[in-house]
Amino acid sequence: MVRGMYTAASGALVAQSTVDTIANNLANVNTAGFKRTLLQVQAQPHRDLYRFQTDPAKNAGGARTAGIPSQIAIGALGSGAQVYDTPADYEQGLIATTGNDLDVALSGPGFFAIRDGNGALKYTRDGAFVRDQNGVLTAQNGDRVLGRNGAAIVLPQSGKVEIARDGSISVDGRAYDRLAVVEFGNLSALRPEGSSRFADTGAAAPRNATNTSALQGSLEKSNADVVRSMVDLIAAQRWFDANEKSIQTQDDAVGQAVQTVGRTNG
Amino acid sequence: MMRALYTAATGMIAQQYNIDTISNNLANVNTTGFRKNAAHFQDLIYQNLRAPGTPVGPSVVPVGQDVGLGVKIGASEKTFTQGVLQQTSNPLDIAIEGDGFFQVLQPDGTPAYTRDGSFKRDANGSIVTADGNFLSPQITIPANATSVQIGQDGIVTALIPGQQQPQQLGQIQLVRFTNAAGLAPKGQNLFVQTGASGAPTLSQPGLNGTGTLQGGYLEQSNVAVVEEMVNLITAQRAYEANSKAIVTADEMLQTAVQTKR
Repeated sequence: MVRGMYTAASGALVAQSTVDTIANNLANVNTAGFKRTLLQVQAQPHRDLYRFQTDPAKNAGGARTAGIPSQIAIGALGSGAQVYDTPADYEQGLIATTGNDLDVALSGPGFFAIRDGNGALKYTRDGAFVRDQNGVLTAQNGDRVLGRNGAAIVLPQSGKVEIARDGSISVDGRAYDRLAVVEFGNLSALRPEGSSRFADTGAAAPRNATNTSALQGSLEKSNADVVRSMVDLIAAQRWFDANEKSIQTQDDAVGQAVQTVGRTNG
Repeated sequence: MMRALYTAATGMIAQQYNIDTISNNLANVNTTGFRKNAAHFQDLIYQNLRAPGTPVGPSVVPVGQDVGLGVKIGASEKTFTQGVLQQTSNPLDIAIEGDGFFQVLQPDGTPAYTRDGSFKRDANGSIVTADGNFLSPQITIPANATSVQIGQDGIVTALIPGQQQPQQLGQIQLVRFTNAAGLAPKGQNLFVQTGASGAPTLSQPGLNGTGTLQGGYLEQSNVAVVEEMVNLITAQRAYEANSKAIVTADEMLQTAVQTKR
């Protein structure tokens, strides 16, 4: 059928993916340490077009013999758009003061190292920590926060916990442990997996943080931006509408061809 | 149908919960010893549409494609910061300055814990909460006693007619938990122990990290009205923004349906 219809449909599908992504960013506008998702779109591969014809030279002289068919390249035709990548935008979120001693915000590119329920090493920017019944420092979902040497941090029963900007923890003024904060050489290999966790897919190159400071008594807010999302939402809707209009126009043209071309009477 | 509809719906549900939590904090802005709640959210799982490393012809896809599915309520955490101490004229109003809880006995005999120190005397002179729960360990004030005093270390003394020196009636104990945020709120300003809070450790006020007592004072709620107002505004706007995503998805579906006439 008409090539352009599929091209327009691919555009409409990308617009739909954009709205899906914006909806997720908006749903997480109050999620501490959330990093918004971006959508990267690229052109689908171009297709070469050819015109098939019979070589006119063979038809010379009025002989109505069939010529030799040949194909002539016309040029390339685009075939639509597709989603290429969905990277997270690791821009710093706003830091809000909570006054809670175990809330820690990170300022800079680093992440807290944590272990999830299966013992796997994960990373998070959500520093709303609590102490569990055994004194182990955990995230809100029970993931253990890692300290020096990658071991879980066990806090004593009592005492004032103080966390310095370099992540070192002291209890009642005595040095105790240090939050494991890591930075990555290649952030694009880090993937969000939900529950405020990020996983290293193998090439993220973690190293000890040098440019990140920990701020006690604060939380990093989500970096999802309502204003930007609203604008993107409008743009995506219009983008979708325009593609639907394109499909409709081509449908009209095909309809016209089916109904009127070749009609002999009136 | 469109994912965005369901994703934005999770956002609206989460913000509704947020507003429920803020409303409860504001409702308890004058509740003695109340500890504010903070709703905590986490992103839902990401649906993987294409994993990085998928072979495409001779090469592999260098980057992946995920779409997030919304938000969930991670926790509703009690914040145990100190409330403001307010002076009262009642000597049995006791505020804790620092960490710890009073231990009281519920009518069924099981212990509960509270920061609300507005104690009374019952018909037998026993120290009880406003709801009649006994302070534990129990302390009884004789009927003829005057000028009851509570020391910073919890020692309760009173003057008994015919005696020269104030008589010591008992010592109020405080309880600490490894993870106070893991206590379950029971309402009526009471908390009970859970598996997440750890076991209670009883000690004299001022020892083992517990705070000291102030007789004649009450600890106010730790809700900060301005902070809650700001939270209310952000929650409402977030709710609104998510509803816009639903409207957009709905209008796009309508457009798609109308393509076929």
